[in-house]
Amino acid sequence: MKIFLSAIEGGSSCKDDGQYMFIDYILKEKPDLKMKWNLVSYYYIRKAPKTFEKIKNHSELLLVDSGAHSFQKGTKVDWLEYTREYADFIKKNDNSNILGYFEMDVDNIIGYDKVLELRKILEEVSDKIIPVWHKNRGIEEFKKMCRDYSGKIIAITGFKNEDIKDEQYLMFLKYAKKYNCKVHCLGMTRKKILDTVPFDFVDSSSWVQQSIYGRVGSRGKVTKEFSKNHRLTVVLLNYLEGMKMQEHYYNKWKSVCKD
Amino acid sequence: MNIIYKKLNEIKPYEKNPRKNDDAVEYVANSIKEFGFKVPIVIDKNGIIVTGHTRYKASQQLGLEEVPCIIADDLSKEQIKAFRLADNKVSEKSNWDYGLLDIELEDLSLNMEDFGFDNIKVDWDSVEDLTDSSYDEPSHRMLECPFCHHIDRDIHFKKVDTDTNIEKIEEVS
Repeated sequence: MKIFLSAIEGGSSCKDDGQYMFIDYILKEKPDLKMKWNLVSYYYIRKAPKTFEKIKNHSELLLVDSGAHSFQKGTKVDWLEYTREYADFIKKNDNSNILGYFEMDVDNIIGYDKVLELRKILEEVSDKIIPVWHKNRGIEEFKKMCRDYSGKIIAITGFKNEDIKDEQYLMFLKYAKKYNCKVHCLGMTRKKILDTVPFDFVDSSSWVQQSIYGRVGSRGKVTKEFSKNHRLTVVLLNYLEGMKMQEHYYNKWKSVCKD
Repeated sequence: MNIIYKKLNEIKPYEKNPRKNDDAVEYVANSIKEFGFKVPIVIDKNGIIVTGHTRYKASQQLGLEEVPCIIADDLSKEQIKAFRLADNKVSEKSNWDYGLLDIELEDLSLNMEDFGFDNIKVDWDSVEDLTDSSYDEPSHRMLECPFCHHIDRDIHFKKVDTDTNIEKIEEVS
């Protein structure tokens, strides 16, 4: 299992540490750090090309999220134009250390038929587009996705009470494995699931969320607490904790995930 | 080095022990049960534990009356304090060679989960097949507005974006 650390395209300013993008601060403090797997949101990095370049160059593997969740937070965006720009970005920036690009899974705003049209635009420029199944698509569509994307990466969501119940993840994974699909569970951070369901890939922003509260730790354990004046220090320490979590789950599941 | 047996009620945990070990007690108890008490508890001359707090709690859990101890009477007060921390700290610096570990674990017939090793096998045959009837959509949670106390499905509430709680700033050139 590879855990992709998300939200690294963010930044912060605080009294004692100064104003930095996270990636800049991490590399300033740890210039030789060998980052493993990161996930960025196109929604944010489209306006920060230098930050994106740095993240891309320092990541062993990178996933790019469409930023579709930003649409769901009420931001007004022309989805067709946004998708064309996303496709253009993919065309310009694709390289071998980018593992894939998540589709525009805005089913609940524009409906699945339109989502399929947007997927087509993206698939015209790359064969690394990752479809994201939501329950509105129905179970037959999940099965079709596994057949159509046999041998490739597909995604489901890991947000509690959203699409799949905790006890059903293994069932979905078992079906996907039948078609040799690699499964990414978006936003899956729950230790209980990470310890029992061998997804090939997941992403987690819990290292940043911990930082909001000035806490350092991983896998549910807080080891240190800091004041808000040291937010970037906390971000750095939590990123390093996140890397330990990456190592832990990669090693734990490597004989099952074989990737 | 002398190993002496002490009654469990004759030794006392160090009350400012900064190491949180409750999660490990069950595994250590299993280890003592399976392999015997092979690593003595180190105590000072007053019977206060220097190293071995987890073994002490495991012994309590197992109902042992006496445990093997070593009295660190050659160490000063400061050395005892430092050793108590150092003994725990140095183990954090070790790592597994997972390749060799897999080989070692493979031959064992003992259930190593009893000693804290994760079960890394999935019995796919026991996992139910995905069918229309086996997939049961999650129901939405009901939330209560903290201001007007209106109760509704969670999707009708605006979610707080945890990302934006971190102050977003423009790219620094």
